[in-house]
This record gives sequence, structure tokens and C-alpha cells, in this order.
Amino acid sequence: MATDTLSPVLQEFINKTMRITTTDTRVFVGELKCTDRVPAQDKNLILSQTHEYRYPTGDGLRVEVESGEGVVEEGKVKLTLKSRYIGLIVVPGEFIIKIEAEEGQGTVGSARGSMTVSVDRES
Amino acid sequence: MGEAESNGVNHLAYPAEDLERFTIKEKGPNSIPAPATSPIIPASQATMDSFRDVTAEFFDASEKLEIGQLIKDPYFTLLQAVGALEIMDPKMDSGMLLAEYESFDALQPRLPEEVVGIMDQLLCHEMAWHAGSALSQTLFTSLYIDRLLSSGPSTLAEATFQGPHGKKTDTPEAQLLENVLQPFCVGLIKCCCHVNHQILTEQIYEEEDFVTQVYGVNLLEEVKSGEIVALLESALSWLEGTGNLYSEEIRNAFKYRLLLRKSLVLVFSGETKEWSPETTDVWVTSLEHVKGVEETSRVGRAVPAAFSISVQRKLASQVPPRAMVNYPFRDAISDLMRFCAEGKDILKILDFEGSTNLVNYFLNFMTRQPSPSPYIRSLLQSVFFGQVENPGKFPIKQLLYDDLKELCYPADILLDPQNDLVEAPQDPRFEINKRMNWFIERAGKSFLEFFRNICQNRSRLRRTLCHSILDWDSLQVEAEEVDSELRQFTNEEATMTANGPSFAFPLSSWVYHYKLRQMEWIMLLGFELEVFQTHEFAGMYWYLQHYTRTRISHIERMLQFANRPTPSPLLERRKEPRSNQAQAKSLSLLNFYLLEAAGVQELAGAMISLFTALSRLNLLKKPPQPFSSDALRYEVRMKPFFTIGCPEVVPFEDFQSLVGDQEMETPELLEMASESATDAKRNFDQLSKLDARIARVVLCEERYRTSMREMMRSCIGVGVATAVLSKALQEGKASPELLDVQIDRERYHPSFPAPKIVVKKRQNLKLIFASNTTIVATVTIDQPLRFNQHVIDGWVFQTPGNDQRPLHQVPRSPVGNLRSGLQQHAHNLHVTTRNGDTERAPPTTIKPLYIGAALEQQLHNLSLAPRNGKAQHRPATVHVGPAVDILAGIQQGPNALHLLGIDGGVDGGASVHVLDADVDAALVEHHPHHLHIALYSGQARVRSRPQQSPGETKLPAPDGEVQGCVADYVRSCALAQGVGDQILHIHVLRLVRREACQEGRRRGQDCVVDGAEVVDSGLVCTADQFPGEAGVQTF
Repeated sequence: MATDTLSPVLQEFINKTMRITTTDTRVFVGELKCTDRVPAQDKNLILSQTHEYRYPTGDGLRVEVESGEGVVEEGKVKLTLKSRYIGLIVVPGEFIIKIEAEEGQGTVGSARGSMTVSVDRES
Repeated sequence: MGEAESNGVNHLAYPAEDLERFTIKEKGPNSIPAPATSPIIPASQATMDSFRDVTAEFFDASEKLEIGQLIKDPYFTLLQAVGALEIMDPKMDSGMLLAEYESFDALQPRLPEEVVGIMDQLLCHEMAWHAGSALSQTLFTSLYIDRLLSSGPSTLAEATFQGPHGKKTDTPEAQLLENVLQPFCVGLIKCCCHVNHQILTEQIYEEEDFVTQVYGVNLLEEVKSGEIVALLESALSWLEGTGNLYSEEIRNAFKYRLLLRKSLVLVFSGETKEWSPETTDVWVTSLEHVKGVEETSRVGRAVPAAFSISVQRKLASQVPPRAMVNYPFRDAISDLMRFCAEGKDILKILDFEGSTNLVNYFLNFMTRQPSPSPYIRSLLQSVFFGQVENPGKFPIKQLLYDDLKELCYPADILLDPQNDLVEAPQDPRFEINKRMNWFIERAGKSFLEFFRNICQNRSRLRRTLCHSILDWDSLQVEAEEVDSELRQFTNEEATMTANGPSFAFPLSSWVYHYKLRQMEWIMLLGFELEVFQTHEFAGMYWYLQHYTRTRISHIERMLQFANRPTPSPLLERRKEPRSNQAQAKSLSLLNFYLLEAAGVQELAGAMISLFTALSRLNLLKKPPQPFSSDALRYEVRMKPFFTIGCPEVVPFEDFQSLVGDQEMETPELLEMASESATDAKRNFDQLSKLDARIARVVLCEERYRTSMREMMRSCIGVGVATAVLSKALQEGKASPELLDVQIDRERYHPSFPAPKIVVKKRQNLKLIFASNTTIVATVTIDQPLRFNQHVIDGWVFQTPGNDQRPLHQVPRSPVGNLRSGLQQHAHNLHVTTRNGDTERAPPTTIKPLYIGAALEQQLHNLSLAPRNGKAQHRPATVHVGPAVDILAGIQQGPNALHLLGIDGGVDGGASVHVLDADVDAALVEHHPHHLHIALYSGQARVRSRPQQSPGETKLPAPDGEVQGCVADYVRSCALAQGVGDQILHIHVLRLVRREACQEGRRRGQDCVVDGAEVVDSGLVCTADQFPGEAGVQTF
């Protein structure tokens, strides 16, 4: 069965850089290679060349703010998220809380390596 | 997740708009050299807020898909998908580990004893890494090391246990950490840095012998070794100044550990090119300090809390979490001692004693048991190639000429250094020089490659030899041509030989001799690496003998030419007389080779006769081969030799009759075996007493004598076995019911394991299979050990543990399993844990797999150590064949997938074995989500077993258990559409497929194979055939 006749909506996302947030608040940024629908199990997304990002935990955040790593702007702190390269992954649908797609044409592999986030200073 | 919540931060703390505010800034993802990682696409400039929330859109579209439908990039193969890590699966997702390292306080006061304990544990981890484990399972589990490195220090001052804003305290405990443990750790990290660099410099196979992966962590690359030595020295002087603060024992313990570390930093940072035979001091000093460390190790107290695999949570790693390696201190110390001794030993090659001695050094060095560590092997290559390259001590021309001269004693004019000076094109010497330069270039390359090959691990060596004989074969043809051309310039006259007049052919003779030796080694290594099964022994020894015999006649030919008086017309014009010394040297070498080859030839002959007799008496166990045949296996075995011009592979029918020798009666065969063994022993006796200069083992005399003694023992072993068998035969007792044949590998030469023939006990026999605490199964046998149906039926198996309920009558299938348990003296059939955790395996049947796994488990948490069942830590009595290795590897689970170059899988594994592995892998795959895969080389991965994957619904209903399981197995990895050739599993699959393809071709069918056809067409595994190059994408 030729897959390109199926769901043009999903087809559109293939090879796009996607950002997936999972139930444990981790964020994965990678290129979507494959998605499917399987019974009893929702869907799976396969990302290649993936980086994993984590929000700093309460303690980590404080340390980073104190050490002056974050840039303070309007009561918010801009921090570089800790990331690591983990390559090819499968994310089962049941753990996905958010899917985002990178805008723009053909920017394959653009949005990896580093990511900053702004959070309230108090958090 | 738990961690986030415990900090009062869950994802709701980051409202959607905050997520929207992610900004991407340009930054190289990985500025640290990470040799083994996949290329990471560098981040380019990207716009702010470039992501759009498509959750609802995506989910809606997904809902509309039919079940089983799949949307994918056309270039993305499903096989790749199988290698993906599954997020939120604790067995695969290292990101789910708890961040224990965050709460670790590196400044917490430690008792001096604890500091010693930590240092020793670090040493164990270091040696485990040297022995092939990954850093993530060893040194990187140290939370102290993590603390030093996690900030990515680029100067020494930054590499501290202190946080960036930590407060300094001056308590004695804090000082101890700062002045002893911290310098020690820094030194250790720098050692790793140097070792990694060294290994990457030379040819050592990644993940097969050694893991160079650093997971993006910078191992103090920028810090100079000199600074670190100075740091360790100041640590030592701080220690001096502590007076009576610590007991003498503790102080000594610190002292030796720091001294050892200092000398290791010096050793590892040394420039190999500057080394000379005298630069052994560094190694000697290190060795002394190792002894010091060993003597003071008693005072140490272990601190398990200082180590945690949680660090894997943040390592840039594409593999699932792996268990921490538990390497015993005793082993670490003995490894390190051997390490220092070998490091010192290899400097001997700098005393250039001639090429033959050099070759012998390499060969003997690599037969050491246990084999030298990857670092030392890499160092040997560096030291050697440092001398070959300009302006080294032995440039390739000298090396080659020296070898050629000693072996072939060619006409002087060929090697005359004056030839270089002749510029007149009409002068014959100009032409000679041209051709000799070609030879240096062409043969020199092969010769140097040959040295490098010897430095590889044994399985790799065998595999490489199979390729390199092709190169030497074509080199031989080319050299023959050049030899003929040279004749017109040397005016060589024909010499009368047994086959009529002939010429010397010096260059091609030299090549031919090396080629034949390599062919012999392939056979010898086949025995050593347990690639051949016992029922193949006779045939394989026949080939060994065949090649050795061919070489003997070649040596005799060379002798004739070396012995000739040489009144060459060109020669008479020369001033210097032809040196008789050189001729004598050649003659002595050739005579030595003749003696050695004759010994091997005789011993191989004894083996052929003995094993032929054993097989006639049905005393060799031949596993059932439902899908294979002797002819097919022969074809596979001899594949590397098929394209060799001379000597040729004999057709299978001839081979069978030559080996089987039906005309000779069995008693006669045995008589012949006995005579040959006696003759061989005489030869080896003589060889073992030869002067080291004559045997050309000046650099490795001790190892040579050991090896000759092993050969003699093999001769004796064969003699004894022959006598026992003859006696039994005379008494009419030579039947499989009464005799048992075991292959004893412990006491003999690894390539000539003698069979041990024992009379089976006839009494009642009670076998108890016990685990550490509980009896797993009790088996009572009323008859001689015969594993057939009616004996088995009476057995009742009990479940492991205290649950005494009878499990089931053992049906037919476990017979083989049980037998293999018996053979392996498995004391640990308790298979409840697979990879150190408490997961329960179904206790319903005992399969070889479990036994294999259990055996491994006794070692270090199923972390399979090196190749072909010869793990260093394997108890001596346990014999585990390649198949079991594979099984155990597959079984190991995600934490310990460290199956290193399983011989059976890499190169010429026993065909039926691999098939068994295949089937068993399917049978016991009881973890529904993951197929855990061992690799034959390359990275360890875990494959996620796709559940009800799309596009594979057409499998036929399983027919019978085994077929069903194969189908299941194939289905589970039948996503294979293209092949990444790294994964063993795929190799197994590929074998299956390839054979199915062949089968298909034979039946005139197309080669499109899916799981269904694989099952249909019968499977034969041809392990020799998949070196991972050709045919990968074809099926």
C-alpha cells in the first residue's frame, strides 16, 4: 500500500522538525520519520536525530539563577535548557501531551542543539 | 515524572504560553570530540517562536487512519524503526532514571578508609573499561567523577568537587577529599583521555574490543598532563605533611594510589615514537606501585553510594540504560599487573633482531592467555609503525629485504643496495631496481597489513585472514610474472628439480610461503576459536594437513634453490664474495620450518585418524541438522578458499572419501593415529629444545617454549585417547552407550584439543541442579547416561524456589537442553533473574538459553565478556560454545547487551548452532515488547518489538511449535527491508533469509522473502557468509 495516498495532513509533517512534550514534561525535538495507528495503543511517533530537553528542577533553577547563568528580563529568567542527543526514538502516543511542528520550509535539522526558555523568576 | 512532582513542579507550572516562548539560539550541540557518536546536525540560525502547536490537528488526522496504517518517510526503513529507543519505557529510556546525582554531596566528609575504598572501586571501573565495558557502565557511574566533569571544565582549577559557589571548609575531612581524592580522580580522567586517544590512533575495533564512546563528556582534553602530574605531586607532599594524622597503613594506601596514578599518567602520556628499549622504567615503576596498592587494599571500605547508573540519564547516549559493571578488585589488579608487564614487553621489538624474529614476536604475543588488552595491542602497533615510518629503525624496504633474504636467499643482485645508484636504462640493474621497487611497494603494503592484522583479537584475525589470503593470492600471481621478467636480467639458469628444470622464483616463493601460512592459521584458529564442531574435526584437520603438506613441499623446493652453488655470471664481476653466512641463515630457517611443519602435519594426521575412528563408532555427537547437509556446510566452510588458485579446494565427494578413508579398518586407523602422535611428539620435543636464535624467537622465547610444550601435551593427549579407544574397541565396548567423548581444551594447545574418552558410569546417578540456595531440579537416572525418551519420561521437574509442586513431565524437547546443561556442568540452572533484576523467567522448561544466561550471570551480571566463550571470568570448568553466547546475549536484556564479537556470529559459527539460536531466540522471547539484541560489532541496541506492526498480516498460521516460533521471530524483526549491518539479530535474520533466497533460487523462485517463505523453505545458516559487506540490501 503506497503510504503517500494516506492522510495528507500527516504526510505534511513527515521530515519536519517536531517538538513533542511528554507527560513527564520532557521535550523532544527531532525529525518526524514515521507515525502509525495501532490498536489498543494509540499511535507512535518516530523521531530521528532527537535531542531531549529538560526543564530545570527547582533546585537546579535556583543554582543557575544565582550563578548568573540566566538572563533576567522583566521578572522572567531566560535559561538554556539542559539537553542531550539521544538519536532515534519512538514516542508512544499515550505519553504525548503536545505536538508542535516547526514552521517554515525545508529547515531540516535547524532547531536542535540548544533551546532557551523563559520562566517566572519565582517558579 | 516523580522528580518533577517532588519538586513541586509539574508540567502545569509551565503554561502553554511559556512553551511558546522557547527561543532557539545558535549553539553547536556538541563541541567536544565524540568519536563514536552519529553525526549531529549543527543547529543553524532559526527564528524565534518558530513552532506551531499542531496537537489537535495531528491527533485528529491520526484518528482517521485505519488501524495498522502507517505514514512514513519513504527513505526511512522500518528496520531502522526497530532500533529506536522507546520513550517512557523504563528498560529503554535512560531519561527515566532518577537524577540521583543531583542530590549527591561530593563534599560530605568521608573516613580515610572510605576514600581508599572509593579509589579502589574507581580502579576496578577503569580496568573494566579497559576490558571492554563502556564508560557509562564503569567510571562515569562515579558520582565524584560526575561532579568533576559535569560543568565541562577546561582548566584544572575548574575541575573540583566544589560547586561554583560552594563554600570552602578546612576540616581535615574536606582537606582529604580535596588533596587526595580529587587529584586522584583528575589523574584518572586524564588517563582515560590518553588511552582513548591511543586506541583511536590505531586499528582496534570499536565496541568489539573497546568502547571509546565518551557520551559528549570532555575528559579534560585541554588540561596538560604536566599540570596533572604536578597536582599529584603536590597531593603527595600534602600527604607527607599530615604527620601522624593518619595511621601508617592509611598513609601508605594513599601514597601508593597517588604514586600509581602519577606513573600511569606518565606512561599514557608518553610519546611512543620516542620510546626505546630502555624506556621500560615507567612500566617498571607502575608495576611496583600496583603491588603497593594491592598490599594496602585491605584498609579500604567500599562506598556504594558514591556510584550510580543514574548518570546515564544525562549522557548523550543512543542506547538504553545499562547496568553498572562489577569488576572484582583482584581481577583489576592482576589485569593491571599484566598490563604493565606487557607494556614493558612490547618495547622489545625495538631491538630489531631481524624480520622473522619480529613476525614471531607478534604471533607469540597474541597467543598469550588472557589476550593482551586493546590498549597494549594498540600501543604495539604504534611502536611498530613508528619504526617503519621515516626515520624509523626498520623501514619497510629493510624489513622486506631482510625477510626475503632469510627465507628465499635470492640472487644477491636483486637486493644489492648499489642498484639504486644505477641510472643507465640499458643496465640490467636499472631494470632490476625498477621491479624490486615495485615489489617493495606492493608486497610491502600487504606485509605491513599483515602485522596489523595479527594485533587484532583472535576472531577478528581469523576473519581478516580469510580476506587477506585473496590479496596474497593475487600478489603471488603478480610476483611470478615479475620473477620471470627478472630472470632475463639476472641470467638465472634453470636448476634441475624433481619436476624437471625450474627457476628459483624468489619473490613469488616468498609470497606463497606467507600465503600458505595464513591459510594454515585460518584452520588453526578455527579450532582455537571453537568454530568447528567435533564432527567436523576430521575434515578440518585434513585441510590443515593438506595446507601444511603443500607448504612442506614448497619449503623443500626453496631449500633446493637456497642450497645451490651460485656461479652467477653477474656475480663474478663483483668484488665481495657471496656471503656464506646469509646462505647458512636461510638454510637454517628453512630447516626449522620443515621441522615445525612436519610436526604439525603429523599431529594433524593423528587427529584425522582418531576423529574418523570416533565418528565411525558414533561417538561424536552430531546435532540434528534438519535444514542442512554435510555438503552444504562444507561449501560454507571452505568458502574463503574457493577463489584461491593454489592449493585448490577439493570437491566434496573427493573430500569425503579422502577423510573417511573407508578402505582402512578402524583398528588400523587407530594404530596410525598412535604412530603419528608419537612422531609428532618427537618433532615438538626437538623443537622445544632448539636454541632461540634458530627458532627465531629471540624476543619471545618463553612464550615459544610454552607453546611447544602445549603441542607436546596435545600429542600425548591424542596418544592416550587412541589407546583408550583401541582397548575399548578390542573389548567390544566402543559404543556410544558406554563411552563418552569430551573435548578437553584446558590442558592442550588451543588448536589441538585432545578428546577425552571416558567410560560412562553404569550405576544409578543422581544429578542435582542447584542454584545458590535452592534445588532447582533433581534428576535421577537409573541407566547409563542416555538421554532418550523413556529415560526422560520418568523425570519430574520442580520449580525453582521453595515451590515444590511438580511442574510437568519433561516432554521430548528439553532433552537436548538438559544434556547441554549436563555438559556444561551448570550449577546454576536457576533462571529467575535475567539481568540482575528480579524478573522471573517462565520456569516451565529449561532451555539452553537459560543455562547460558545463568552461566553468564554468575560472572558479572550477564555482561558477556569477550569472544567465543572464553571470557576471562568464566569458571574454568564451564564450557560455553558460541551458540550459547549468542543465546545468552540475546537474552541478556537491555542492561547488559554487551556481547562482544561472538565468534559464532561473526565468522564461521557452527551452522546448526546459529540456527538453534535463531529458533531458541524465538522460543524464549518472553519479554513481549522488546527483542534484545546482541551485536556482533557495533553499538549495542535494543530493538523495540513492534506490536501488530502494519504490513505484516499475511503470515500463515504457525505450523507446529518451532515453525510458529520462527514465524513469530521473523515477524518480530521482519520489518527488515534494508539492513543496517550492525545488529546481530539482523544477521541471524539475514542468514535465514539468504538461505531462503538460495533455496528459492534453487526452486526457480523469486528471491522475495517474507516471514512466511522463510518458514516454508527451510533454513540453513551459513555463518561464514555474512561479513557484513555484500548482499545486504538485496533481499
